[in-house]
Amino acid sequence: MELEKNLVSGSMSLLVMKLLEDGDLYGYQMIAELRRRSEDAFRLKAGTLYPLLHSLEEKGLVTAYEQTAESGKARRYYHLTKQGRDALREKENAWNAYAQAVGRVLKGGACLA
Amino acid sequence: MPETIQAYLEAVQSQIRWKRARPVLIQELERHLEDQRDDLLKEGKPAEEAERLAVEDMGDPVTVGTELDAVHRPRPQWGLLALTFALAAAGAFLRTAFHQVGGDHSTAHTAALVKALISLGLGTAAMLGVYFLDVSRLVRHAWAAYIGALALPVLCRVLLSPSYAITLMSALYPLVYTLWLYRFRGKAWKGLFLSVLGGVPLAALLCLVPSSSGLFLLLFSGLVVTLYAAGRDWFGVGRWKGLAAAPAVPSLLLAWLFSQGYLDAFLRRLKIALHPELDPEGSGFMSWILQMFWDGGIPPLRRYESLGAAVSAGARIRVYVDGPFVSEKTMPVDFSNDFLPMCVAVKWGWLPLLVLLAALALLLVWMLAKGLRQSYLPGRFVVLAIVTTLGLQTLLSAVLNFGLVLFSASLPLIVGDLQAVVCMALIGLALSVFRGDSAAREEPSGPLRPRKRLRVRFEYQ
Repeated sequence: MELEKNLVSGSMSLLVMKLLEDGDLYGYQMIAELRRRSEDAFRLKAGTLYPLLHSLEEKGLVTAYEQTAESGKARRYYHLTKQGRDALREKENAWNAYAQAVGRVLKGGACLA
Repeated sequence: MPETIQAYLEAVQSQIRWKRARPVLIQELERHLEDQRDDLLKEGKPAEEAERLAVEDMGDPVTVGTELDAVHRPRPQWGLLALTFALAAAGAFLRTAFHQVGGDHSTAHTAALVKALISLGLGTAAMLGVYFLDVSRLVRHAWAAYIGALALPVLCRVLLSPSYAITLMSALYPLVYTLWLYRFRGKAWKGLFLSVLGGVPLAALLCLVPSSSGLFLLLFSGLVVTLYAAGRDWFGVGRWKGLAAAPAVPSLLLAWLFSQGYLDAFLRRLKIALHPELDPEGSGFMSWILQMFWDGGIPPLRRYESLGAAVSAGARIRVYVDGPFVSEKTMPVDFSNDFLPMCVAVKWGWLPLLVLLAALALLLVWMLAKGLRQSYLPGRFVVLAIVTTLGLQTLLSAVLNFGLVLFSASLPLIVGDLQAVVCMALIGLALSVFRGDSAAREEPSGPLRPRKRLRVRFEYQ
């Protein structure tokens, strides 16, 4: 299922932070994980991901560190900070409230006279 | 749209204006593109197609480059640079003003003015030069910095003067130790031991020079930085174990120094500092005068006269207490140097001195708060070492000027021509960390203490 681009882009930072909630990842892993969890609905371009990650880092929501992987290649892992976890909670709450409101409207119901 | 990884990266790079940021940003994109290309190759795609698909999946290079450019810009530190310069200029003015006391030594005054202006000029050049430096280069060449630091006393003796060595070593050794310590990230107990062991030759040289205040600065700053590193589990031995072990080596070093007879000398010094009346004509002379001054023992009208006489004469002082002077002797310390803050209070009252100290404290606290928020970890260490060194110098100077003559200490940026240059360079280095944080990257560390990570299976369709 391909989702409308605008619908996804606004919530991309929420999704990226959510991925990092469970553990540190590097960019390539994030894209693969996002596709897997969304059952291929979210095909995030790497060119979108890195500026987003770097802006989250600037805001102190994530930190990054270089580590040599077992393959011998150095990779830049991203880690969700405490500030990032707090921001994630807020974004999740806002998103859930929004989704519930949209859901109620889509279900239909009482009309104003 | 470029079709090769190299062409794609060049297109992205052309959009990033800050040259220092380019290599680190491009490296991350390059690794990503290579990962994707390699996965496509594993799936059986031909080499050219694999590279083209990887590039295509990355997105428009101009858009990517522009967005990265917007995030990664140098962060100018003009406010802190201006505050540092203002303090250094105030210091140059004060050093000249207090050589002017007496008014009949115009040659000495002119010489002091010229020296102060040269110091301000050199300090500004050093501060700006270091401000535009890439700190990560210094971190990468920590070994060279360490060896240079060991050679410093010899170089100073041969090329300059031994007194230069004391100033330079006291100010720079805590930073050199910090750069040394940074190299041992994740090296477990061996790393912790070697990092602290690296401080021993530096401490030994300070003992030989000798500079007790320099040794105190190194031990205290070194301890702060080592504890900070241990608190972040820098060595990978566990946070609490590291915190418990970090003070052990400085403690052992102190124990060894004390066993060599330093304890008696230190206790005697402390006793005289607290009770200068026990030896008013000897080593307690300065404490005695200062305590009399702060207690109001010297009549106000003559306070400045007596201190002024010392400044203008350079080497002799007469202290008056109700009529005939009670002491006239050769001064071991020049009032225009370490005791300049007291001279400011004597001549102009408390307010200018408090404003000066408050401005200095503001600068250091601002730097510390900013430094601990840096994402570039070596930068954090560097700022911590610099702020600890300058903060401790400020504290020791205040203690000295308020009558506890325990260690000699120069108020940073204010006292001493060479000292001011070194302080400006150190602050320039800290500001360089702030300026370049967005582009700074650490060297990769080994996977000794991996954080919790997700296991991800790659499947490319």
